[in-house]
Amino acid sequence: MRVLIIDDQRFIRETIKAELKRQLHYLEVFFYEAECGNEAIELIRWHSQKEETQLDLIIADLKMENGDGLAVINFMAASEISNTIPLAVISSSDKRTLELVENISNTFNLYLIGVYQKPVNISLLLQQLKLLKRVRKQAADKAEHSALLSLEQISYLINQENLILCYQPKIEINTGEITGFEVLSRLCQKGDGFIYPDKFIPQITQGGLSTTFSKLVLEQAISQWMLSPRFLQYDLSVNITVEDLFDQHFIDFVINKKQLLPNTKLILELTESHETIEQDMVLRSVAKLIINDIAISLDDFGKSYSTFDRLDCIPFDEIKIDKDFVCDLDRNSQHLAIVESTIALANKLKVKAVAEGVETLSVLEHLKSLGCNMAQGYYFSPPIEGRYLESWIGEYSGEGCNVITS
Amino acid sequence: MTSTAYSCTNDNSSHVFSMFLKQIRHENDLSQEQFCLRLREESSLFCNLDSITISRWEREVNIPSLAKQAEIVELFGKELFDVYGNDHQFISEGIDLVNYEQSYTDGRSIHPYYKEDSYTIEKIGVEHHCFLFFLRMILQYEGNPSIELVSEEIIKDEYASLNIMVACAYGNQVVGHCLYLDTSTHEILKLLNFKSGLQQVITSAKGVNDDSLLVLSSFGATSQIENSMMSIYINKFACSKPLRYLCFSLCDETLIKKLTAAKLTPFKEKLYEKEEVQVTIVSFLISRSEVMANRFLLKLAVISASRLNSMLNTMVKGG
Repeated sequence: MRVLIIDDQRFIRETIKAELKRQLHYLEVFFYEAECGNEAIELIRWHSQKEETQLDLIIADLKMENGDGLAVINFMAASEISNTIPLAVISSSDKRTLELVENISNTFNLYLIGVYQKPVNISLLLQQLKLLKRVRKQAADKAEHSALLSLEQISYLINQENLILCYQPKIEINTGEITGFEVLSRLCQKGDGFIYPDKFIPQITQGGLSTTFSKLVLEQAISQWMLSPRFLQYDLSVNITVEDLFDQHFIDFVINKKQLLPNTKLILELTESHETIEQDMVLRSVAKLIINDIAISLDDFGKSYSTFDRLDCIPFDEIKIDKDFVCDLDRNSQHLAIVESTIALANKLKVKAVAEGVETLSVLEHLKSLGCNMAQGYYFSPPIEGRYLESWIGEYSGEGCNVITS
Repeated sequence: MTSTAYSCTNDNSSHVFSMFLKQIRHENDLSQEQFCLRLREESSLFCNLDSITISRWEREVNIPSLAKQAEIVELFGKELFDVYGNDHQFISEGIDLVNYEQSYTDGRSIHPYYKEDSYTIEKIGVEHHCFLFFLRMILQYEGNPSIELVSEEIIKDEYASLNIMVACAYGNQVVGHCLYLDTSTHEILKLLNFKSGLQQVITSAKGVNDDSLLVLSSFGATSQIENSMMSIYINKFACSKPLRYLCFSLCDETLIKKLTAAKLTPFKEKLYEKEEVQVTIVSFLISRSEVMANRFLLKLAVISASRLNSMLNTMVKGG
């Protein structure tokens, strides 16, 4: 194992060396040292020339003369090796500075083990390195099996023949009643089972096919709602992207489709995207939709950095709290805090709060006490295919609306 | 497009779904147009369907995805499993997946002393004198900290809901196993969110609200044994209509890889952390129609216990 230690104090380098030797006594460890960033960069450059001299770990201090830790990070980000050598940053700076450095390294896609305050806990560092290696290996294995579909495959796949929609119930927490359903799409090809949105939505968006796809989904969802008078009382939520709002044909298409369901509330869930929303055209589209009795919902709240802007300029009907924050809020106090303040924000703005990803009774009870209006998730039901929807509604309503007390 | 006269060609090579379509249309006395109209009226998946497409399906010019086939088959009161489970061609494709004679092309064995040989499969009930031994062995193999045995003293009756199957080769070498039980999705979600353990899942399995089959471990020394162990619970799942979800909670990377290679997407990948232990637990939650829409799982589903046994018996005699 080859370890490069970068610190301007010899004492620190020696301590780290001694500790690594002790912890990795079963391994042959070669140490390389640098007093400053510039010296380190030369060493990294030299070592990466050949396979057999590759470094296995870099431990770098932040504050040094002649090139600091950030210079090292910048060099690694700019060169191709950034993603292959594990890096641990050590510093005596305060916690918030360390967090900032961590964010910077993550945006550069570095192989960052962590940012540690001095004195460094080497055993923790090694443990996290081991875990990270495992996770990366699993991710690589997985990527091999589940590579994203190519754009060509996607454009071939997106038509009504391969589209299957599932519907996930939205439940009013206080009464346990069904208020509506969110439409979730699956693509099906031959005998390959279901392909989930995380594998095709990025490509669809990238390839500029988003509006074509949204139309297909709306078309199938609306014909599902027209199959039975029983569905008409339930809200129908369909996901759209900001790109869709730039397309006037799409807006007219939605308004036309909505006229087929005069008594059903149609909600368009706006998912995150990097597009800015303040453009006139987008706002005009939103106004046109709202005038035509179509509600807009802010999806994945908390996931995208631009959500506050949006909240300010669009009269949303509801905020949907992302499932990553909801599903473990009874175990993760940070997530609980985020959900709690989102619900408070929604209440102040007089907008409904919908929590996604509810899987257990314990999470549901937390949400209830926080004053959340609606919930969605596997606790109520996994997404349901159209052909089972009516019988599911019957079963759920028959069992009574006392899900919370059961 | 006018309706084509129904003609029954008993050609074995024609596609099972095309045959089903022709047959069901004949039984219900529907023309292709009428049939098309009926699908459009009863399912949103066929909102754009035209009768030309139906004619193409019947003539095997193209065949819809298994997922869409399932919708049509169910509109006429059957399941894809019933249709494919009666097709000799398809069953033999399933049998090929577990037939050891095929294994020469593969040859992979993860067992040090076992290559290709006959083996037998035995159910280890709670009354079996080695029940606890096998249970511990399987749990140790899987290494899933969320389903540890909490106490040493266990009340055997409580464990009656657990199904253990073990594959043994010569000299009682264990070359495969599986551990599964029927339970409810609520119990599974509790387990996957670390809100309960093995004990709770077992004791809460009452049979009344069971809508899921939960697999906790499944292994085979060769991919044929692996497939035969899988066929045991997948066939059981397919045969039992109240079961709506097939779930896996796993740490064993071999099976996780196998499931992802079969194009299944994990439901959750969750890190279990307790003191020094850090393990990733990968779970799958597959709906009944997803099982049927997946060609690999459907092939395993049509291998009934009796078919598997007769195949193993011929192996023992032949080997």
